[in-house]
Amino acid sequence: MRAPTSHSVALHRGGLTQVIPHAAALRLCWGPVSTVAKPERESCAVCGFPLQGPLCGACGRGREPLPLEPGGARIRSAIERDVAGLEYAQEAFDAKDFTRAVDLVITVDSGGTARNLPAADGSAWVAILGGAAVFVMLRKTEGDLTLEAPVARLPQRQRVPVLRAALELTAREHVTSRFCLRGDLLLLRFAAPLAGLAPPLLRKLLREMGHLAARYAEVLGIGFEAGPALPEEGRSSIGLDALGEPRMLSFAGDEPSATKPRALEAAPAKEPPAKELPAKALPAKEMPAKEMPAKEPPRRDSVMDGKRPTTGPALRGKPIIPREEEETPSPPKGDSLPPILAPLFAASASSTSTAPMIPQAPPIPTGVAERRATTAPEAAVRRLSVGMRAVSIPDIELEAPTRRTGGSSAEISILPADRLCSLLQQARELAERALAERSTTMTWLVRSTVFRAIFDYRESLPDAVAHLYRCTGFARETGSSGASSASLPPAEPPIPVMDRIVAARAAVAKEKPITVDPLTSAAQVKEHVGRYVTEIEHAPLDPALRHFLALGALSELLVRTKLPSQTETRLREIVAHAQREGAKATSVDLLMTSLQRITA
Amino acid sequence: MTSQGLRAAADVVALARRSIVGVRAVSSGGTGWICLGNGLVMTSHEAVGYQIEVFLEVEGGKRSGGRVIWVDVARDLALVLPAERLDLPPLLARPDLPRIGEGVIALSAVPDEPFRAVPAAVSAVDVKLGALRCFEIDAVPGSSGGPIVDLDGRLLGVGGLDLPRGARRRAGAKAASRSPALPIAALERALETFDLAPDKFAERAPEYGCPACAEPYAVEDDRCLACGQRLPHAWDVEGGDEPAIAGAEQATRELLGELGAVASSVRVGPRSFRLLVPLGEGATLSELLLDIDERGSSLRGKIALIHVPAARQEALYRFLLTLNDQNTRSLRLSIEGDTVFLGFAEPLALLRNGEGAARFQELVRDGERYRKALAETFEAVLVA
Repeated sequence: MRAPTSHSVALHRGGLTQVIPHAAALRLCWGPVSTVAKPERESCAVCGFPLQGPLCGACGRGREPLPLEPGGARIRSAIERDVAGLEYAQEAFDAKDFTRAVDLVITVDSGGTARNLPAADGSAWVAILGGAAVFVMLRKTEGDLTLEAPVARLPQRQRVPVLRAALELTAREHVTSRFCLRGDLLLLRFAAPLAGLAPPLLRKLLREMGHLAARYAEVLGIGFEAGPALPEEGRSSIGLDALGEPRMLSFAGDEPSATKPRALEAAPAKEPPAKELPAKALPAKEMPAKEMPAKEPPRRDSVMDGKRPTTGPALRGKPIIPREEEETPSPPKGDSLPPILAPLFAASASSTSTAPMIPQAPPIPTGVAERRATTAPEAAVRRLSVGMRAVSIPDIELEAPTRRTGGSSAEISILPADRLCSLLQQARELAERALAERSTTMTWLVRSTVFRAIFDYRESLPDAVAHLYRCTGFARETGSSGASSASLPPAEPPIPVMDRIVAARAAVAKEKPITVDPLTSAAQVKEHVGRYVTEIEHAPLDPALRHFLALGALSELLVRTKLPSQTETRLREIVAHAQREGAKATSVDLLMTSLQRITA
Repeated sequence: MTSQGLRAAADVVALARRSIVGVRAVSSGGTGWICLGNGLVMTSHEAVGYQIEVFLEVEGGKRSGGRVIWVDVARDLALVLPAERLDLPPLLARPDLPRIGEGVIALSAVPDEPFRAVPAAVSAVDVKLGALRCFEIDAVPGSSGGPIVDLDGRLLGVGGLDLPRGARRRAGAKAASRSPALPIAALERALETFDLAPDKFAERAPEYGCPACAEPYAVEDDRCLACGQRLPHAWDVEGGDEPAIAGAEQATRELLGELGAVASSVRVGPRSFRLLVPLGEGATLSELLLDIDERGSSLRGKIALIHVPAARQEALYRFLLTLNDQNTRSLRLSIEGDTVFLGFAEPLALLRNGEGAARFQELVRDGERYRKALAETFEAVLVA
C-alpha cells in the first residue's frame, strides 16, 4: 500500500485503507466544496421574469431599470412624535419660548401638583410626579435644564450599603438614574441643554425621574432603613432649599464652578413670560409672595408648614409614617356615621328607624384629627373611629376647607380644562394596560372616569362633562329617568371620546345639562359600591388602576347620593386626600377601607 | 486512560502549544495557529472581525501586530500575516480524515484567558452545512478558530467556527453540546496558494463575500445588497422590528461613523459595542463600552477607571456621589462589581448633530483625568 503524501489521503473504508489522491478523497468523503455561481441572466425590473428579448415575456415591460428613490426621509421616533396633550408646549418650544414650553409640560403632566418656585437665574418648578417630588430648574444664562428628585436620607447604621447601592443604581441604563449626595441627602439629578429637550422628551424624563425616585426611595427605605428625603406633610410647600447645598469640588484639574449649578437663591417672584397664553392652558401660577421663602433660606429640615416641630428625629431618618405598633387611640363609640346615605332617608337618620346601617367612613389619624379639632366647626362633637391598621393611614394631612380656598394650593393654579384632560389621559393609559389583562375592568374604568369628571368638573366644564357622559353611554344607563333613553344616541367607544375631548382641550360644543339618576336607597348604594369593590379586587394589580377605580367609586357615590353633611364632608376629604397623595399604597388602602365599610 | 496515556496527551498539547497564538481585535478575539512555513496564522473570521490590524499573543504573553490578508466569510476563516516573524513551527496536518469515535483535542489560546485543551471525540463526519462538509466533535471548543488535533498532535481541522454563518447571533440559538469543524484536508488546496514569501502579501487585503451568494458586501450593511440575506455580523435584536429600536440602531451607527468606527466591526452584542480608546500617559488602550437601552431611547457609554480599594470604601463612595453632583452634563460615576466606571446615559435625541462625538470625547478626557486622580487619592488599582 502506498503511504499518504501531501497530495493524497488514506481513506478507511470497510476495514481497508486506501490511499487516494487528495481531490478525489474530498469528492468521495466530503463532497465537492461548491461555490454559488453568480447570477448572470438579466431579469425584468418589474416582475423578475428572465429576459430573453427587448421586452419581458411575462409582463411585456421593456429593459429599462425601475426608477427608485435613494432613500426616504428620516422618520422621527415614537417618543418625539408623541405630542398628545403637549400641543401648546410644542408650539412654545418651536418658537424657542423654552420657559413657557417647560412650564406647560410640567403643568399638563403633573396632574395639578405643579408650582412655580422663585429662582435667581431663570425659573424653577416643583411637581409631584409618579409619587415623588421632582424639581425642575431652568437656567437662562447657561441655557440648560436640571431635573432633581430627592430620594432618601442616609441612615446611621447602613449608610455604607446605601451609598454603595446608590452607586450601583447609577450604573443602570435609565437616563435619569444618576445619584448625587448632598450631606445626608441622596437625590437623582439630570441636566441637559434646553434646546434639545423637546416637550415629549422632557415629559418622558420627568415621568422617569418621578417613577425612579419613588421606587428607589422605597427600595432604600425597605432594604436599608433609609429615611424619607422629604416630610410627607410638607410636600405641598417645599421649596428649592429642600434639595440641600451642593458641594463644589476641586479635583483632578476641575475648578469649582463660579456659579452654582442650580438656582438655589430665592428671588423675587416674577410673572411667567409675558406672552399671552391661550385660554385653554395656563401654566402654574407663581407662588404667592407670602409663601415665598424668607430672605434667609431656611434649613432643609425646617421646610415644613409649621404644623410639625422642626426638630427631632423624624426628618433625619425616621419615617413619618407611624408604625403599626405605635399606640393608636381606640375608636370612640359615638363616632358612627349617620346610618342613611340615601336622600330619602337622610331626614330620619337620627331616628331609630330600621333602615340599613351605613358603614363608617375610614378613620382619620390622630395627628390630623388633632389639627382638625381646632379648625373644623364640628370639632367639639367629632370623635375618631380608629378601626383599621394604623400603618395603612399615614399621617394624612387633610386640608381644612378654609385653606383649600385660600389660593395658595397648586391645584387651583391651572385651569380645570388641563386637569380634566390630564384625568382623561390617565384613564386612557390605564385603559390600555387594563385591556391587556382584564377586559371587564375597562367598563369600570370608563365609569370611574365619567363620574370623576362629573364630580370634579361638572360646574366648571359642564359641556365637556356632558359630552363625555352622553357619548360614553352613561346617559342612557344612569341618566334621569324622566328622559327617554331611546332618544339618546348610541354609545361610542370611550377612548375616541376621551381623545376628542383632550384634543379640543375640553372646549366642546354646547351640551344639554346632565341629570343623573340618584341612588335612592342604602341597599342600592351597598350593592353598587359592592360591585365596584369586587371589580377592584379582581382588577390587575396596578396601584394606579386601583386608585383610579376607587376614586371613581367614591365620586359616583358623591354624585348620585345626597348624604348627610358630615358624611359628605368626610368622604370629600378622603377623595381630596387620595387625589393629592396619588396612587400610594396608603392612599389606596384608605380608599378601599372606605368602600369596604360602606358595603359592610 | 492510563497514566502513560495522560502523559502522552499532556506532551501532545505541549507540542502543539508552540504553534498556537492568541488573536485579539477590537471587539472580538480567538485562537490562531501557524498553518504554513511562511508564518501565516490561520484563525476564524469571527476572531478578527472586520479589523485589518490585529494583535497576536504568543506563549509567554509576548504581543505582536498582525495584518489580516484573507477572509473566507462563508467558512468563517481568516489568515493573518504577523508584523514580525514569530519563529513558531507550523502545525503538522494529518493527511487523512478523522473517523467517528476518534479521540481529539480542541485547543484554544484567547488573549487574557488561560490556554485550554478540551478533549473530545469525533461524533459525526460528513455533516452538511449548506454547501460545506464538516465533521463534528462532541464538545465545544473554548474559542473561535482553534485547531483540533489528534492524539498524536497532528492537525485535523479548525474548530469553534460560526457555522452556519450568523448562527451565534440569531435569536433562539441554543447552547450547543457539539460543534462543527472544518477538516484541514478540505483546506489544503486553498492553503497551497498562500505558501509564498511574506513580502508577496504586502498589497493583499481581505474581501468579504456574502456566504449565500458570494457577492462582495460592505461592512456597514446588515443584509447583502445582491441576495438580501442577512450577513453573518447582523445580530438578531429583540424588538428590532420596533421603530424605536430601529431608530436607535441607526442613530448609533451614525454616531460611531462620526468617530470613524464601523458599527458592525465594533459590535459585541445585540445592542452593545466596544471601542478601544487610548487612555493615560502611556496611551494604553482602554475599552469604551456602549449600549442602547431596551426601549431604544437612550445610549449609554462607560469606561472602567479603578478597582474599588480594600479600605476606605465609605470615603470613596461619598466622594463619587458628590462628584456626580458636580458634573454638569450627564457624566456619572458608578460601580459595577468591584470596578468604578465613568459613563454617560443620554437620550438619543440629545446625541444628534455632533453632540454624540462631543460626549465621547468628554468621556475619554474626563476618564483619563479621574482615573489617575482617583487611584492616587484612594490608593486604588487602575483597571488594566
